[in-house]
Amino acid sequence: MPGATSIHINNRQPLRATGDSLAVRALLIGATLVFFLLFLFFPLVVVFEGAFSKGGAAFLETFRDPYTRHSILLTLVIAAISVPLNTVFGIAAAWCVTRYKFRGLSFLITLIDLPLWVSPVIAGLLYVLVFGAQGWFGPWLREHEIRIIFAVPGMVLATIFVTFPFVARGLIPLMQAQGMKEEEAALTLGANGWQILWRITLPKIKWGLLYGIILCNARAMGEFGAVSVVSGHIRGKTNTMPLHIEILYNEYQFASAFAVASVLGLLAIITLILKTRAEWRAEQELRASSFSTAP
Amino acid sequence: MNKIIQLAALAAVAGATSLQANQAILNVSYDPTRELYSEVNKAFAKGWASKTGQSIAIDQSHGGSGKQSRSVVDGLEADVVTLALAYDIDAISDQAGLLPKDWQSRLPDNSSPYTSTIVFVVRKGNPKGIKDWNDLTKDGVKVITPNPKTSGGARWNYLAAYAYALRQNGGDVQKAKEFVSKLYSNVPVLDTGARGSTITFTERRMGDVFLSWENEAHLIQKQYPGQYEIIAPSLSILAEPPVAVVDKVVDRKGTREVAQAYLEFLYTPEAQDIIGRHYYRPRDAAAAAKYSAKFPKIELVTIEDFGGWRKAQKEHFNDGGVFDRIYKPYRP
Amino acid sequence: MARRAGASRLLILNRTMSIAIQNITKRFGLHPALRDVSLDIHDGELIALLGPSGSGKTTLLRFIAGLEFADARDGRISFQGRDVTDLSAYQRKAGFVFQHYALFNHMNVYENIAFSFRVLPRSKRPPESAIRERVTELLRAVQLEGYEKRLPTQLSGGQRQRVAFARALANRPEVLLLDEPFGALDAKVRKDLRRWLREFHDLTRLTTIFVTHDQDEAFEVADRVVLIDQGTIQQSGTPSEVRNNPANSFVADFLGLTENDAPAARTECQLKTR
Repeated sequence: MPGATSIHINNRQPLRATGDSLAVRALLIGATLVFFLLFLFFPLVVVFEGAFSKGGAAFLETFRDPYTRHSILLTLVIAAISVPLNTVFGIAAAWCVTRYKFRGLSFLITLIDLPLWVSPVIAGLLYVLVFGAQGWFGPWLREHEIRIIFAVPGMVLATIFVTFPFVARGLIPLMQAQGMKEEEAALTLGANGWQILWRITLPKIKWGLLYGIILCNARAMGEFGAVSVVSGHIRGKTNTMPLHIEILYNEYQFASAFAVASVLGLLAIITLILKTRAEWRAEQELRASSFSTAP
Repeated sequence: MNKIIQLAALAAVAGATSLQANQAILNVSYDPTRELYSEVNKAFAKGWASKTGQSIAIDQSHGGSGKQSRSVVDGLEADVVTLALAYDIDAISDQAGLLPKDWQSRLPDNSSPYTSTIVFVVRKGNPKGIKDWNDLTKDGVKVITPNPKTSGGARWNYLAAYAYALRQNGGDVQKAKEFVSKLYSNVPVLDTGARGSTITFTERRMGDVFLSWENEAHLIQKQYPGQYEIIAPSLSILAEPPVAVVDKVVDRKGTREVAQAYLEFLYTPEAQDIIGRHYYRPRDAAAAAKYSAKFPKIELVTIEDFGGWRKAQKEHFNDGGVFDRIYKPYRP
Repeated sequence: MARRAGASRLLILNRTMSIAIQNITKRFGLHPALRDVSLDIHDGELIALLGPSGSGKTTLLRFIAGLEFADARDGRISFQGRDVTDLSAYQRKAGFVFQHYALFNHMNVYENIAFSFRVLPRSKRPPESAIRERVTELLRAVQLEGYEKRLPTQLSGGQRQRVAFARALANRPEVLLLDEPFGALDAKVRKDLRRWLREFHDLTRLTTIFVTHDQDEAFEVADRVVLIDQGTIQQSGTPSEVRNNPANSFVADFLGLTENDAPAARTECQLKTR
């Protein structure tokens, strides 16, 4: 058994195998670093600089504006609804894909990826086509006084669509690598499906799951395109933070726009830190599972 | 427990405005009117409260006029629409049947409480020496204007240029088409709304001349003092941005009375003064006189010279219309 | 010593049973894993399912546990005369030791062994003191007293193997199923564990079936050897029956005997085994 683990650890050290010369390596690393500074780091600095361009008082003033506060609240509400739902969907989808073999499996995997291939704007338009006043369900919805498009439910739907793949995508490779021997063992010990999910599978994948949830949440809060199409842009009602930033920017309130943007930027940084941590733990999770499942 | 918190938060969001006010109406408007309506709304709500004792919240949504029209057709529940041109309200009537075809005759002055026109904005000192429409077709002049497919202002821009070309060429349609074709070949980017183009011209500092709503041009001067100049061309177009109550929506929501009062308020001396202050040309004689110094005398053609909006839209802007045929993406 | 005492107490607590398998067929896609297999297993037997890889022996073991189901409806399986064909694994509760043990890495040794009690409905769950007593007793039997708090990742291969045994036995299964139980261990540990399994079985007489591809292991440990190839049982009998009278050329080949010089090969084989 010690042999089995050492094989796995050896597999994780292919770093020096490429044989690239020092110059090539320096060039590649340098190019990556320059790119990172130019396109990621500096824009972020600009955002924070812009946020405080009129001083700390103006920065705080932005967050006294009821429309700004509402946009933050709405963003949180949309994330609070769509992230838990996508967590459940994601676990269910990853479970189906990794635990069962059935006709249409590869089609299902493609479907999970669909939101990554489709432009978010198209996703928003799809919902308008389906639920809009002129859409398939439009007349029925109006008759029953149900508002979906240009209201919070539509924005939640669009966010769910766009963020659907993140949890499932995070779990599928992990669950595939871990296999289901432990679940089978639990089965022979008398555990039913729910007990296996709660006591075995979820603890096994918890860091991978957290990683997916963090990415899902970041995207849910930052989503612009799909939400923009179904929002209707009613201030104080259907504007999320990204939409509100656009409005502020278009109204010459640049400092305020950057102030709200800096909150999203901060969120991105926190996400990055949490994500790195979760990723590291997920890696450990995978490594731990190789003790019990590796050949 | 989490569910309860979520529901509570959702209820708070959904009910945010209704908690503050007895009633709420939604005004779906075009791009440059943000500042105008934020002031009009305050004045109206105050008057309405003192008259009826009810508080009223007016929600705003802004965007390119054509896009906003489309959203209302798709179900955005506008109690009133205040758009850039009549055709965009015609479309709501034609495609969704939310208001009758004769909506424009229901309020005075073609349902347009103010007019405006199209002027040029150039950078300080007018480095390219732009005086009139024919300067826009010269090589090396970059023109900023939004996309006529989605923006109302852009359609007025286009028609003003076309009218000028017709006038110069004694009514030769072919020559006029060549003229606008040449002009649009000088446009490096088509934003979807007027405000987007403003930002492109001012913040991103693209282009030499910006074809702008008159009110937006003055707003730019206010936002960037001393950096821009307004040029009045020899000929422009009388833009009549119309307003209308969306019947099906107000009847369903029971907001007809307040919506109607809101639009009528726009014609009152109080609102006309606000309108003038925001650089829109007031209908009211007193307000017009008060702000006349801001509005240069320009010869203006009207949409009737194009046979009305339905005809102009069909001929020039619908898929396969003149604009589609003459527009070739800009190549530097 | 302690091991013996522990094991004998386990004996008292166990009932014996028999397993009857009739006409089982199982395909994976187009590949037949089991073809019309029937097998009777008697009370207290220690049986080895022996065959090359891909022969269907592990599928048969998983079928007994309820982890695989037969294709055709006419295949049946019963435990002690009770038809369990339609019961799933968690209802059959066969003790199963997996090839790589499949211990729960996020639980310590104590919780791993106590798992089968934790998942019982509250009405049937024994009190914590009884669970503790049982776990301690099992840990003593597998010589891992004092390891309760360890995580599986902190144990050696042989120790994990024994935890897996203890976990499978905790709730007194009617049958113990082992999938290549010694496959992943080094030679010395393997020898010890083989002997331990034999002694354990002698004490408890718990019906035990194990899968192996290693004939030495099968012949040394089992009461009866069942040779499987291409999804069919080729021969079933005591080690000496199989060795002295290979039923067909597959069995002879697999055991390294040829039909012409069987006695010589037999001696060789015995030398190798002992």
